[in-house]
Amino acid sequence: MTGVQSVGVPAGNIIVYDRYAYEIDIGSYQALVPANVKVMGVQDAFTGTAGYDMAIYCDANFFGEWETRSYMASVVARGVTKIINVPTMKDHSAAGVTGCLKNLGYGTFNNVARSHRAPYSFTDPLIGVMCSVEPLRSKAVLHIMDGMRQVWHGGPLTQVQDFIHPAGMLYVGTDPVAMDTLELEAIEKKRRDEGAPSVWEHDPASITSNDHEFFHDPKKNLFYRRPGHIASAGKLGLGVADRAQIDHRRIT
Amino acid sequence: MTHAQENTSSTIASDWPTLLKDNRRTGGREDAAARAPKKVRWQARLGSSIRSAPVLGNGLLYVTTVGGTVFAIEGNTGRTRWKFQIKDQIHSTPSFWKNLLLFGSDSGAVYAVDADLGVKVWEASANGEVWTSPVTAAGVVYFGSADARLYAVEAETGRQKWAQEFGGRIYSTAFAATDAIYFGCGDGNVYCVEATSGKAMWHTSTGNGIDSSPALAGDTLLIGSEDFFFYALDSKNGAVKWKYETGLGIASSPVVAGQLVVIGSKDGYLYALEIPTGRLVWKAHVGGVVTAPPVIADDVVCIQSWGTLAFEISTGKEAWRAGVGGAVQSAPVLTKDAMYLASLDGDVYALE
Repeated sequence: MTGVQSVGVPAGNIIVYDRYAYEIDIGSYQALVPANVKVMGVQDAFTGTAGYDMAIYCDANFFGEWETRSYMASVVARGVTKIINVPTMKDHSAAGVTGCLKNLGYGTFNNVARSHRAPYSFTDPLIGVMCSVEPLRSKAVLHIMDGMRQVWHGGPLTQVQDFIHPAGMLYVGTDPVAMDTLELEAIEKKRRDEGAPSVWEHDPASITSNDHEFFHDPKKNLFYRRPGHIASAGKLGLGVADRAQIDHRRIT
Repeated sequence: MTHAQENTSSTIASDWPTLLKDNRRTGGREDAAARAPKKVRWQARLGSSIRSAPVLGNGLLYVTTVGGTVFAIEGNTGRTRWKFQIKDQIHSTPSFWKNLLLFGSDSGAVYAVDADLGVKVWEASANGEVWTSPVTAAGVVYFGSADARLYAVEAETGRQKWAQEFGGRIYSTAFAATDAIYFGCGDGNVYCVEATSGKAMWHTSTGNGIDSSPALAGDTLLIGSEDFFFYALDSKNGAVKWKYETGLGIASSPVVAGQLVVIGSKDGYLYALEIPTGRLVWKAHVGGVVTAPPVIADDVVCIQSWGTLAFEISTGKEAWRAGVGGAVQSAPVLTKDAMYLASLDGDVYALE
C-alpha cells in the first residue's frame, strides 16, 4: 500500500477488494490500511449479484447446474484501472493449488463453487478461462504471492497448524502462470518431504467425503485435484508454464 | 410468564459504556439463560446482509443491515414494528441511550433514532465510516471512525463536544469509563484519552493494528491485537501487566466473568485466562475463525463462528451448539427463554 502511494497514487484511489465482505472482515483490512483507502467485499452475503456486471460473464455447464453463468465483479469491470493481485500460497482440494490464477479468477467472478462437485473438478480449464476475460486480463499487472505461511494440505480453508509451513517467502512477478508453476513445485516438494501424495494423484482410494478425515489426513482429499489448470492458462497465453523457460531469481 | 413480560426486563440504559453494554456483552439483558435451543420461534428475512450484532430492548429486537435499514422487530412474533432507512450501509452494532437507538453508518453519519417510533432525533457526523458501536457515559456519546478520529457528542442533541485525531483508522469500539476513554487503533496503539477533551493520557504499542474492543476489569484493560497477542494493561498508565500469544490475530473482543477473561482468536480457539496473572485456564476449539465477541449468560460463554457454540465458563467444555440455515458471525441475544441470531445472509432467527 505504501509502495503504491509512494509512486503518486492517492489513498483515495486505492481499493482493496475480495470476493466476500465477511472474508475482508476476517482479515481486519479495514483497521489496517491507510486512511481513505476503500475496502470492500464484492458480495455482502453468499447470494445476490448486486456487485457484478451482468454484461461480462463466463458461461459453462459442468454438472447441469441451473445457473451456468459466472459474472465479473463490477469493481473490476468498471471501477479500477490496474490490479495488484495478492494471493496466499496454499494447497486447494479441487484446483491443486490456489495461487495467482485461482485467486484472480475465482475472486473476481461469482458462482464459482459450481465448478467442483465432489469428487470431480472442472477448475481446469475454468480458472484460466476466467483470467483470460477482458478487462481482467489486462488490468492484472502485478502479482505478490504471500508464502510466509504456506498451506500444504487442507486448503483452502484449513486452520490445522500441522499443515501450515512457515516458509517465509514472498513471490513477486508479472507472470501469474510462471508464479503458480513455482508455487506448485514448492507445494509438491513440501508434500513429498512430509510423505503426502502428490497433488496430481487420482487414486480413488484417496477420496473421502468426510471433512474431518480430509482436514487431518494429508493422504485424503475431497476431489481429484486439477493442478493442470496452470498449464492450461499458459496455453491460453496468460504466461509461461514451462519451468525451464521461467526466469526466477531468489533474493534473500 | 409471557414473552412480552420477560423481554421488558431488558434494560434501556442511561449509560452504555462499551460494546454490547458491559463486560459480559449482554446488550443490557439481566435475565439471560443460555440453553440449547430446541426449535425456531420465528424467522424474519430482512433482505440484506447483517454484519452487526442485534440488541434487545423493551421487547423489540433492533437489527441494522448492510442495506442501510434499521429494523425494530417484535421479539414474540417476529413482526416488524418499524423500519428506518438511510442511504448508506450500516456495519455498526447499535446501542441505547435512554430511549434512543444509536448507530453509525458508512457515510460517517451517526444516528440517534427514537427506539419506540423509529424517528430520527439527531444526526452527528464523522469524515469516515463509523463501524464502531457508539458508547455513552454521563450524557456523552463516543465513537471512533475510519477517519482516524475519536468523536464525543452530546447524547441529548448530537452536538459535537470534541474530536481528536490519532494515527490510524478506528474500528475498535471504545470503553467509556468515568474520566477516561479507552480504545484500540489501526496504528497498533491502545489509547487512553481524557473524557472531557480527548487528549491522550497514555498509549501502549502493540505489534499490529487493533480492531478488538477493550473490556475494563478493575484497573486492568483487556484487549486483543492483530499481532496475535492478548494484552492486559494497567488502566492508569498503560503498562503491560501481561500478554498472551494466540495462534493468529485477534479481532474478537473480550468478555469478563469474575477473575476470568475469555477471548477468541482467528486461530479458531477461545482462550480463558486469569485476569491477575494471564495464566491459561482453558482453551476450547471452536472450529472456524473467531472474530465475533463471546457473550456470557449464566454459566456458559457463547460464541458465533458459522454456528453458535456454548462452552462452560469454568471448564471450557462444550455445552451445546446450534446451527441455522445461514452463517452467523456476530453475537447472539440471549434471554431467559429465547436466543436471537442474525445471519450474514440477512435472516434473523428467534430460537427457543
